[in-house]
Amino acid sequence: MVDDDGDSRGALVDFLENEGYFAAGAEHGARGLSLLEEGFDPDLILTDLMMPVMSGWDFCEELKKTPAWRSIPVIVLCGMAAEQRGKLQVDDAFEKPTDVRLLLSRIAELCGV
Amino acid sequence: MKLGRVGEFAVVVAVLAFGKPVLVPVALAFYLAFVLTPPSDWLERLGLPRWASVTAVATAVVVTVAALGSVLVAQASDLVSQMRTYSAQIGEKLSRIQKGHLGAFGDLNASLTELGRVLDRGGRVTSQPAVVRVVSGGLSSFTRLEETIQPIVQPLAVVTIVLVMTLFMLGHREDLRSRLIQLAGPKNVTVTTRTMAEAVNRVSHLLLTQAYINAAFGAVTSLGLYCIGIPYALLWGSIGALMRFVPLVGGLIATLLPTLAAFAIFPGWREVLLTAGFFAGVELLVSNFVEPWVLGKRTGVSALALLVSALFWTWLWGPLGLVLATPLTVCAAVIGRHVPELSFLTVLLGDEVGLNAAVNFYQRVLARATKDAYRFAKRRVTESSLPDTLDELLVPTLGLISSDQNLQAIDDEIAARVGKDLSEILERLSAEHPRPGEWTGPRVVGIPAESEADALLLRMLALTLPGGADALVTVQESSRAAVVTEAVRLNPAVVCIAGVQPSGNVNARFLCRRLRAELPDAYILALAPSADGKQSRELAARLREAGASGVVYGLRDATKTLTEPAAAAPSRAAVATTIA
Repeated sequence: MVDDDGDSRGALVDFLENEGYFAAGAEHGARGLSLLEEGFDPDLILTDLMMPVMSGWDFCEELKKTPAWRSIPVIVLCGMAAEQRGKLQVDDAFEKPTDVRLLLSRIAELCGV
Repeated sequence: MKLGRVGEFAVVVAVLAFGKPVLVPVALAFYLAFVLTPPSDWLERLGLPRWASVTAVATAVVVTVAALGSVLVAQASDLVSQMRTYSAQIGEKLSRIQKGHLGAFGDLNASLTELGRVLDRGGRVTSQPAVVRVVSGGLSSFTRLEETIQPIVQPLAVVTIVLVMTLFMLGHREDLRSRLIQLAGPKNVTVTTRTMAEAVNRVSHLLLTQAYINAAFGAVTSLGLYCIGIPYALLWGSIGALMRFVPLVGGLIATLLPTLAAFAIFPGWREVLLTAGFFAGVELLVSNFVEPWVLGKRTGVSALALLVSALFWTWLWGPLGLVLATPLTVCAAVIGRHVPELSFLTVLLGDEVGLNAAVNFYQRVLARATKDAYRFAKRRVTESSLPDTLDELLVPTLGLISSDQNLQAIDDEIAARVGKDLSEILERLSAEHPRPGEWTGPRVVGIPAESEADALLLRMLALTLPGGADALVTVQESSRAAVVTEAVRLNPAVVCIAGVQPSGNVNARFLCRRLRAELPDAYILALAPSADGKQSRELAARLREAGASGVVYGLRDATKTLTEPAAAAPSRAAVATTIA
């Protein structure tokens, strides 16, 4: 869960852990990449777009550049319309505030559970 | 203006020399932070918050240093108070040497004295005029005070700055990493992140392991000296342990100090020789067997590079440069591995000598010398067998392509071209060396987890099975969901999911979960090209958790597993016979 808003990040991580997932948080894209570099191997990434240090756009671009990470499904959580998200090659996008039940069902589908 | 490589090197050296007062404390702080990061991380994994882990580590270090320091200071001050007695013994021993009352040593002394006389006769006495220096008159009291305080205050200030910087680096390590990444620019994020992760990992492990080895060295030598009967054994053992952090000369100084002490303290020669022999023996054992065994694979730096580097850093930064030489060299080698423009650093400093067979083969394919690569592989098949050649040459090549792609050393286009050339080589080799026998087990459905390289791995697997390609049906679709649908439609008894990525098998786990849900009785085998220590164990555990019946590394193991009863005769009959 990559989001600079500590409250949203913490709430979603707690929610996912309550649902039986193992979730980890990162405060921006660069920290998210560091986690992947350190060997964290997620089944799915949820990311915000507007973040300091490294934005969600740059983060997604880096994911697609590296073969080891390009297959990881990505869901974007953002407060902007679909056309503003640009040419992001992501699996899905949810606008904020997010319908968590809908999000959970999409996460389960993309993780294959 | 273009400087060229030599010019750039000269500029870097000049900056390092000119910036010594600032760069040395920063490098020392990094050094300490590297050592203290693993224990701090460990405490955080136990659930401690950052501030608590840093405080605990810092307190532990200060308490240990203070406790050991107080014992050592007490022993050192006792040694100083005994110096008058010892100096009398030294004087007596020296006069005995001068008088030649030394037995065998006396003969040596006499020979040396005679040699000196002969040389003196041939030599010429040069008398140079004495240098006369004019000094100014009396100093002011302020200048005297400044001259007295400065040698104490300056090192204290540097120590304080280094400690504060270390605590800051430990407490804000992610922040520091983010700043450095930002500094390197968004385009270099992957390279910077990868370089930093590897440098931190290697240097931290190196320094921590060295700390353990040196502490053990100190304990063993203290005990040994105590048994010999040398006073202040703990003091000499601790100095020895500290000195071993200094490359090259550290071990020598560690041996010399207690030997000199034994010379000063004891009237005879027995203890001197015992001390020197014991210290030198332990030092030789540690530096020639323990360190190469424990540290050898962790530094990734050759011994010659360390030697040259120690000389360079000592010349540049003095004794502290000598202490910092090893971690700085390791960092330089790691940077060389990840920054293509600086790859010469890895060639110069790295410990990998020459190219192994797979790298040799890979570089031929990469250089588009396909015919040459084919001949190379064919020779290997003649020398061994097709399955062995595939396992030792072609499968590792798939791993090298994947690794280079991840490092962004080659782009997707080159990777695709190399894959195509490999496919052609495989085609020719399999046509020349058909696999004998007939596949009697259930048909295996093969699914490439991620890429074309995975499909190639499956083709190689088919060639190692009795009956060759007939044994395996490959399912390749445009999406993961479509692959699952097609595989379920085939209703196989055995599924083999092949993935060459050393990390990041997200698709393989997805396929395992979906296929396990849809085909509960199927034997699902995950195939990876090679085992890679801890990472592979974690990977295997997660694949099993996702539903894999087994995880194998390399074609040899895969063939063995697929022909074993568990996989070859699963609980229900295989019905997969065709593909749509």
